Amino acid sequence: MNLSIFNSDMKKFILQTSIFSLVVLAFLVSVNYYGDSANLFKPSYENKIAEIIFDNHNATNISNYDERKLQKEFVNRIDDRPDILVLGSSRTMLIKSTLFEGKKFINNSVSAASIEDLIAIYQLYKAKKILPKKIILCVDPWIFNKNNGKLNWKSLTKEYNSFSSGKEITEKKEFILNRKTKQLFSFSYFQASLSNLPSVIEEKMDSTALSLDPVASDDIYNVSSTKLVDGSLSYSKEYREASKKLVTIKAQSYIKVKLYAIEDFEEVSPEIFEEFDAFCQEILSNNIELVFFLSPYHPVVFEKLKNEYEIVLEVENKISEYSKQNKIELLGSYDPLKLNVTGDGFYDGMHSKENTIKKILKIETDNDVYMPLSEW
Amino acid sequence: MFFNSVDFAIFLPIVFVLYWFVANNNLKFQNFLIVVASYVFYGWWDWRFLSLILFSTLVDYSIGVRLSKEENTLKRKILLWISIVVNLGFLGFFKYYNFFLDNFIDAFSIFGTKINANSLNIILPVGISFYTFQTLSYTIDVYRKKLEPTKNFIAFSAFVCFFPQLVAGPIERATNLLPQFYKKRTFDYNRAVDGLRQILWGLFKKIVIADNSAQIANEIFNNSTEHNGSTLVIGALFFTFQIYGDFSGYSDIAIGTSRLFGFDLKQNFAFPYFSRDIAEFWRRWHISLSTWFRDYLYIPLGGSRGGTWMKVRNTFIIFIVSGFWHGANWTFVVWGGLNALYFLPLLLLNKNRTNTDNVAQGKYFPTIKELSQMGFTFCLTVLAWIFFRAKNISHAYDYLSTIFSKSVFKFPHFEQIDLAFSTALLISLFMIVEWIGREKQYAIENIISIKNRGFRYSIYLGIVILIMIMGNFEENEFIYFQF
Repeated sequence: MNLSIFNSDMKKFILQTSIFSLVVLAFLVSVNYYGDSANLFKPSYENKIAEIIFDNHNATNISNYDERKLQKEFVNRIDDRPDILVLGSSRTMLIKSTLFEGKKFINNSVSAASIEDLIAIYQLYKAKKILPKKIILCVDPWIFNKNNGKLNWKSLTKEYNSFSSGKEITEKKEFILNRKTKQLFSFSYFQASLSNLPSVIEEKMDSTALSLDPVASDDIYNVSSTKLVDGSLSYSKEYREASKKLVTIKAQSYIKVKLYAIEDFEEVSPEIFEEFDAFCQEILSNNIELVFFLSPYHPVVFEKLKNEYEIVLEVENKISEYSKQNKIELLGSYDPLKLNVTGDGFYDGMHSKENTIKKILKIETDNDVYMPLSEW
Repeated sequence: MFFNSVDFAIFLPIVFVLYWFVANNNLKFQNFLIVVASYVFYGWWDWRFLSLILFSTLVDYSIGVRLSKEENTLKRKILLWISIVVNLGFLGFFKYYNFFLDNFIDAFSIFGTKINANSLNIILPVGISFYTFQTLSYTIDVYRKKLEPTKNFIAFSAFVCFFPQLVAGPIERATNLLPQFYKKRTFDYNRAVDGLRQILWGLFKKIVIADNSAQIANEIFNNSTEHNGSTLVIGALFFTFQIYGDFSGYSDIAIGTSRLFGFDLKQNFAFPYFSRDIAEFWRRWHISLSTWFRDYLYIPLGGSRGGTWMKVRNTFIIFIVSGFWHGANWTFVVWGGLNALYFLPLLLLNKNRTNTDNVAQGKYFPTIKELSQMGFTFCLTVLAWIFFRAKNISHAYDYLSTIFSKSVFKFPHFEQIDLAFSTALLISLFMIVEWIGREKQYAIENIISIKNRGFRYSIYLGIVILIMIMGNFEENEFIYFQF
């Protein structure tokens, strides 16, 4: 290396740019760490939610946490074999134990679930040898889109790899620049964390300020979203009480931008379908009753899907065919008309209301009695 | 690799250190490093198309060498045409094949003849329109004996693929850039700091102005049938700032990056939205392309030497070809044609070179006359951008029909109205800074004249924080990458 160039001008340039960059970097990292909009750097956040739930309370005031980690916390605390397990995305989060009287029921749905998520959560049960008796599996169209861009499952990489390799994989020490620490340098995360920073400071300075931590509640319906004692979810007040007009606006907005996880959906990925098949066969081979659950889209959204995203219809046909071949019960459809559901049956463009879910599950009674995970 | 990506933020310091500390003593090694870095930069996007650049480099280098030895006019012409055919052949195939095929089929279908031909699934290599024009300029200049052909293959390769301006210009002339590869570069503190300053300004333009404007423009243009006229006007205005922020931002980053390595590129944008007539606008917008067309198309066609009819014909030709250069879609052709129409009155009245200086030179504010001239030119430009942004001609027609309907008097309504307000404020701030710095190469060049170092650095930090808080960090592509 030629250091003769390292004259005073170069020294000055490197020193000044380094100091300037360090100041900016320090500001970025500090805001990301302390503002921490997704609670990435508060190690006990998911643990706190799980503790509340296993203390037989609902957990409210929750937002932006690692849902995959929470499922791990749940399964770690369970010793019994569930009767019914729900695996899926946010579109199945509202399926509750009240619909299955007397059953040991758990809802392990995670937002934006990909095939990797479904497999990894199943693997959590398999590793503990407490496989459920029945699985309600939400089959969202995007799971077959290799361009869906879903990476959230990486929190369960070990479990996913264990399933794929058929071997128990020990947790590897994570590389220092992992998915989490990378967020320290993220400008998008900076923007979210910066808006969160005033609440963090307020909480630190004022003991009477609203806590940012999860809060135990015995109510099902609270102001913010609530994780219930059976792992299911109840929406925030604002979401629950949205007027019909607002729901329609939400559905219309949904189709104005890139459609969630189904852009660049050119084909039903043969590799993913093969993986899906292997997963289903594994479930069936363990004598678990498997039910496919297709969650409908809002009529406004489905109209767009029908005309511009025919691949979604192709997925439904393929799943329907597959379920017939393998004698798997298929409930629901992406098409709300097939289920005779109107816009009233939705909270937004793709999330069904409880009544719609009951209709799909063909359940008429709801005793409104929850079976807490803590009481299994 | 995008300039607004983390990859580039890591790549640039590595190349900088290697360039100044490892390769500093050896000019050949420095040039070779530029070639390697440029190929990595380009290959990051798609390494398969590196062979195209290499082939183009080999062809033009060899033709240059042959031209230097050849005195026979006919043979020289043949060599020139080989270069033109090869370069434009690639460009034509990758960019225009499907367009011509589809139009050919459509044209025959009018006469009831059905032709069965399948379009090809062709990926357009990033930057092909830019480096093709750059290499062509070399061969043409060598042919015209304006430039000594190079015998230094590494220097020539570095000239063709110089990473700061490889994918979206400025389209450098061989006469300006190539000689810089022959000379030893020494590190110059002031030039490097100036480069960083220009990069910072370019990032602001791209990440804050262009990418936020894009979000609003996309929403409105993609759902134009659902909006009233006033909303569509807003969509067109945001696109106007999107394309300026995007492309001039890219040019600023390219020029600034080049300065870090001791190279000077030509100014590509000279505050075009302060133009007082459309001729001035075209002297200030994408200067490297406009001058390319002037020197290699307009003048060979006869320029303005053959009387009014010739001038008009040639003006229409360069505007339409320039439009077509932007993309294989009739919308770009109409956009070019429309600009030619705007140009026509100035040409006929011989007023196309009236405004050759800076508006309100040496003054804080423009006169009422200047302001109205700028306003009028700006409106014409916004109108033309609608064709540029529209999906097709009928989309542009519907868009304009709604604008020129009664609904233009209705209150605008669209989803991202909050973002539109904040972005409009940022654009106002941006335009004020641009106005203040309009006599410079780029708007914040003058910061160097602030003696107080603390104050100077506070301004830089302020811009960085503004980018961090108000920027859009979705790693959005630069619009001109698709050209």
